[in-house]
Amino acid sequence: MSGDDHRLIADCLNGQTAAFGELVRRYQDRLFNTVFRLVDSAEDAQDVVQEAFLNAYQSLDRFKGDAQFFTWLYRIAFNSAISLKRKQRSIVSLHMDVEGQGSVPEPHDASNSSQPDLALERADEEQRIQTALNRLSPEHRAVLILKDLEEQKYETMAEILQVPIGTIRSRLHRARLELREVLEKMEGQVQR
Amino acid sequence: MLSNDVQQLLVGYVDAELTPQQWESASRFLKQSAEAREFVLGLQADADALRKLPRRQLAPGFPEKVLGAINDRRLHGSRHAKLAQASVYPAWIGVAAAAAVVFVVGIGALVYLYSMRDQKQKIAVAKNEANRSAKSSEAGAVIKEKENSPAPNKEKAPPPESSASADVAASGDKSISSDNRPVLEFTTDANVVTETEPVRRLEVFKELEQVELSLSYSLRDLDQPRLQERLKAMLTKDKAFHLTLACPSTAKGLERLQSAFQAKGVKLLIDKAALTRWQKGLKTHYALYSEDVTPEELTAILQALGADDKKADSKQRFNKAVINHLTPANRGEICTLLGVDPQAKSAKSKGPLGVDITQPLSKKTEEQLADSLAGKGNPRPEPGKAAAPKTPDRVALVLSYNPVRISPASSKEVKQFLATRPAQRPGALQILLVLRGS
Repeated sequence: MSGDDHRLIADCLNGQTAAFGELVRRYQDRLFNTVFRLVDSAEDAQDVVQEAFLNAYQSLDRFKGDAQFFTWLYRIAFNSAISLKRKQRSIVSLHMDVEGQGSVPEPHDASNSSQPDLALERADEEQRIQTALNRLSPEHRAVLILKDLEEQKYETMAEILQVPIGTIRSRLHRARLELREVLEKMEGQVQR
Repeated sequence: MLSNDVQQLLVGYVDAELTPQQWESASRFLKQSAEAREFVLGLQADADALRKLPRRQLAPGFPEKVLGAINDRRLHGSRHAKLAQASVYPAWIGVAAAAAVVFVVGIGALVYLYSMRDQKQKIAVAKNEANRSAKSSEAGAVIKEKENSPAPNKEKAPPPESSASADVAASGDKSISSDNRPVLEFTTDANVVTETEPVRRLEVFKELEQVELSLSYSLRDLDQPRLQERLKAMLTKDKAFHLTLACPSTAKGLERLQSAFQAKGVKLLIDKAALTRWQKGLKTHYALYSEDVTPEELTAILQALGADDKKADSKQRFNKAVINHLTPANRGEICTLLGVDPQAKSAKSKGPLGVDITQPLSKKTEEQLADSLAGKGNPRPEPGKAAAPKTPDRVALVLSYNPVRISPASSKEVKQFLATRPAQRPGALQILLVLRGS
């Protein structure tokens, strides 16, 4: 755990709520991005992230400091997100509802505004990958996001998801094969 | 087609999660296999696509929103706040309080149950007293046939006449009396007898306080002088006794009782219902009621029965005899059996010669004539001989005790016994003898 995190947590435990605000500011975007890819809804992701921070604040005195604060925070958020996704699974649409993204904050990418064609291309690619991700199970989606988006090590992933490293290894293997298969199918559908 | 293990190795290669040895073997394999290379390129392309996904960001002001929610929900993250929020009492206080509540409730329940038990006992005593006084007030009253008498040759439980039978009716089982005995109902000329069997129950020791005064022995042992003395001593202490004799065959037992009583000049007047049961040999417990037997006579009767016991068949033996002083409960039983309290003063005014002045003279004459023709009356003196001195018949009444007869008012024998019994002689005992099967 970084020294800053440690100090902020100590301040929180001493009653300085503002210090927790600093922790939120430090991890909010990273956590939101990960959760957003997991639940594929900006509103749900925002709710999950907010609840994760609130739960973390309440349980701060139980945080032992032997792991990174961010790992601990991710564990809370992933549990909430996976539970939410399991509940929603029956109503998850296989196609991305572009109109439904109205409430989703737009990507904060300054380069997009200067290159409209590139932005459109990236948006299509994002939609394709997100659609493929949505077809995976929450567990497979989680390992792919943690590995490729967050670039976490197997060990950290195992800590966040609270499963053995062997499970992470086999889960990632199956997830990658499944994603490959889904993307190939989608490409085949587009060509026809 | 790549094997599962090779695929997993190559996934590790893409994720850069291999040991140096694994890395080396993966690299070697990739050099050799075009399929492996293609597989890895596909995985890397997917991973790159995922990495290139645009980063989403929350709108500004999210930290303030979270802090606002913390304030709104009054969440506490600090140790001090949690300590302040924590109870000022230690945890064991709660446990102790719960234990105290359980203890108090338990004590309260115990006290309540004890008070309820006392109350029930008081109610039972009050009921007994009320029953006794009600029956006493009926003494001497003209015994009327029931208005709603059942059809001839049929037996069924009538509407309850006493509070005891009212209780029975209330309980919904009209065939069981208040003291749990099945009841019998007979019409005035009953020929049919319900073949109800006696209910198994303890008919002795109704009141525990009398137990210490009771004398329990085997009739066969009455030849022992010590036991005879104890029996005599007991019979002289009181004027009313309750006897229980147990005999395997009550029919045979009653036969033997009849002989023993007759030998002492006491005739058994058997209620028609009891007589029918006796003749049919139905299982019945009998009650013998007498007011005209002296202690000596009773001792002699019991001794005679004991002597006979030694010769008698095992089914005819009186296995057990228990003698008690007559308790209020026993008196209540007598009232139930006879329908009136026999010890209460008769309301019927009788003339000096035992003539019922409430009856017309013609009716008395009619009864005497009928008795004479039936051979029941006083024997007519033989021609030329003086009439023998008239000795009034001593009569003991026998009734069915279990099943109990619930309408003694309709029994001709009971009416006859009550109407003709003489005033109790000095020294004579009032006895209720119950003969029950064993």
